[in-house]
Amino acid sequence: MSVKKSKDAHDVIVVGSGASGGMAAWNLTRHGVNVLMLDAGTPFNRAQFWTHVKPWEWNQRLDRGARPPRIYLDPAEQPYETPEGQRFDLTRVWGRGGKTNVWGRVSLRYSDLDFTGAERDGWEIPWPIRYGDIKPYYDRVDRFIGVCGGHDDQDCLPGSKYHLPAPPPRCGERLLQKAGRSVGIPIVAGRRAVLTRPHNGHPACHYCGECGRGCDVGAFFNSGDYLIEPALKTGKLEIIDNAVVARVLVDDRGRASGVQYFDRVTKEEHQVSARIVVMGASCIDSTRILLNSKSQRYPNGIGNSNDVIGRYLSEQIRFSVFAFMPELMGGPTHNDDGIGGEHIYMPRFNHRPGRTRDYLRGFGMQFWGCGAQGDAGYAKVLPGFGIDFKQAVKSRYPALVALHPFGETLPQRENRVTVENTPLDRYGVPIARIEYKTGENEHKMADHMYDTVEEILHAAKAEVLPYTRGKLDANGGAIHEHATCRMGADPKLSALNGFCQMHEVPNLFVVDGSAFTTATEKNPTLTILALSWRATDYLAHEMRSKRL
Amino acid sequence: MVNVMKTRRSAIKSIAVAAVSLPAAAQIQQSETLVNVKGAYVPQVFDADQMKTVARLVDLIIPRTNTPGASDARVHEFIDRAFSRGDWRKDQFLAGLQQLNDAMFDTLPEEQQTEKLNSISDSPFFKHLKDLTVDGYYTSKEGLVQELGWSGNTYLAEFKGCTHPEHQS
Repeated sequence: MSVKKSKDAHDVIVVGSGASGGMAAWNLTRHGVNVLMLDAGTPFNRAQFWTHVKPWEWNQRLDRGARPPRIYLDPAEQPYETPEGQRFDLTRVWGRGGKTNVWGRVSLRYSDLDFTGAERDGWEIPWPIRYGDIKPYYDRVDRFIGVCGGHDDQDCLPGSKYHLPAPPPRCGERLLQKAGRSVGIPIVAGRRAVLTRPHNGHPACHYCGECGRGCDVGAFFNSGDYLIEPALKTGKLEIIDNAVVARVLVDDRGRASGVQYFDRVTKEEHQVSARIVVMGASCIDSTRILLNSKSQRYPNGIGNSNDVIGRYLSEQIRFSVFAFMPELMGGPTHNDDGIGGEHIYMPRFNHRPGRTRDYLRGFGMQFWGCGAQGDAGYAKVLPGFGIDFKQAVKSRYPALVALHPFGETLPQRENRVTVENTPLDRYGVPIARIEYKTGENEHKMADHMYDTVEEILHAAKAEVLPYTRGKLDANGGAIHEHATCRMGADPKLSALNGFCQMHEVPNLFVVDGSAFTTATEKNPTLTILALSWRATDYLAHEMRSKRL
Repeated sequence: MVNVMKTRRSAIKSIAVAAVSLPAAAQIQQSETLVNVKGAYVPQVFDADQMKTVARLVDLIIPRTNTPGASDARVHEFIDRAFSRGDWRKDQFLAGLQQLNDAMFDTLPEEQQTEKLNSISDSPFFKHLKDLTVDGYYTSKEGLVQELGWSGNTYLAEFKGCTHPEHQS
């Protein structure tokens, strides 16, 4: 098959259209830079989302042969492999906006407690940036996309004067806050990228709670509506749909010269060239592309002479415990949908005076699924059947609360993505192999996470549904992959500098979660947006200064 | 543990699975045969006797009270439909039904039917029956709206949240 080579050379190629790629394209076009974006899918049509389909209508639609729009990538189309016993659940969305179409919207700023972890405990390398470096970008992101929350600084969780009003907590969440207070564990307003009032031309949330199916009006940040549409209006952005990028191409000087991609429909190979390449294909796919970009100059993958890329894969540990609040049992049912998911958040507290721990780093807690839901799945674990059972289900229905802690996993050299001797995908390109295990530190932390859940629920005098202490969700379930192309001050130990620029290949930038030095206990998207904005400000400045 | 709660991840998974469960040709064929000309549901997996038994079983799990019971909410049809879409529990479920049939379950008086269910409450069959009944009933309009009072997934101008002073201090 002949390779189609584009005649035009672009200023910058951006690979991926999610939070990181969308931000890069939007910000670069604002700087007057011509951008070619390669998206592995096509735009989603929010008019076709099944946002407002009621549970019983869902079944009726399936009966008629209708199917909800296909948002998630089928792993059968683009497989990845894992070693025996190391299950890793990888969730990918190929298409305009990527995972931001259906993301959880939790938008927590990292603090210096996160950025300086390695300085304090000596585990692996520190971040090359501090809160002061990224704070102006957090402010800009908050103002631009709209994040609701409190202006209540915590030592580990900065507030923001740009937050939109926080939605009021549900009854169960109020009671959890009260229980937390009674045992010295503050539970604060959540920070979520949901518009609690109209913002920058986007409509306010209408509290249907079905954000996970895609928002029918775009009332929470998604890269397609918030970043890519305005970027297209500048006339500086061109997008190629269904472009599955395989490799970054290299010139004689060892610089990135463009990318090779395959058309997802025709499977034809194409090559496009540019002065600068920005990777934002999400952690695992960006890493796979970099590792597959082998050349004489870079036999280990582009920019990977120090064998850092692919290593230190860091996700998060999680589990859920469900319970019923006695004050709410047998009471009236409210519409608890709110902004979909939690309105409150428990910031990390294990570092505070008077607290001790036998592990490194920390955890926070989320509270997904408090209040009346669109089903009553907990009924499966209530005992018995018949009239008493039916009554037991009903009385508990308004009283449900869910505790859902997230803990940081330590970066480990052997937790990694590789492409050596893996099977080939449908385009003939090696697929990713993900090797990932949690270790002793994570299991000690999980003990403390369970202690904390139990302490709060005990204080609340809650009726707790059965759970298995120590059990963790499958790895990958947080959908927060990080650190396989990490930033750091030392070029021997890291792939990128603090501006997401490759130490070894200065015209190659990586702006997605793979650029993070550590995972932290927090959700990464807000920080991805801030880092990508900061990186592309720097990139545009370097272009103007003729250094790139 | 409970894996049915609507955390965003589990919702993601279940929706993704529903979307890929059948090839296109099978979907079309299925959609044409699910209802007959009179609009009544046409069972795909159970025969007429089995449908009757399953309707009885789901009512033992969730009986009619001053609100509808499980068969009022067509949960027996929900289960047949789930199996017709390839639900993994089908074979164990059919085997369990066969055993009940062998024990003349349909002819037993209600008290003995309840006793029989109690006696098999540790079996996979009972677990599947209860799980499927819960899923079918509490996602039906009868179960979710009439029984539980759910009023979600709608358009609200404002979300008031908790307005009870006693929950806040």
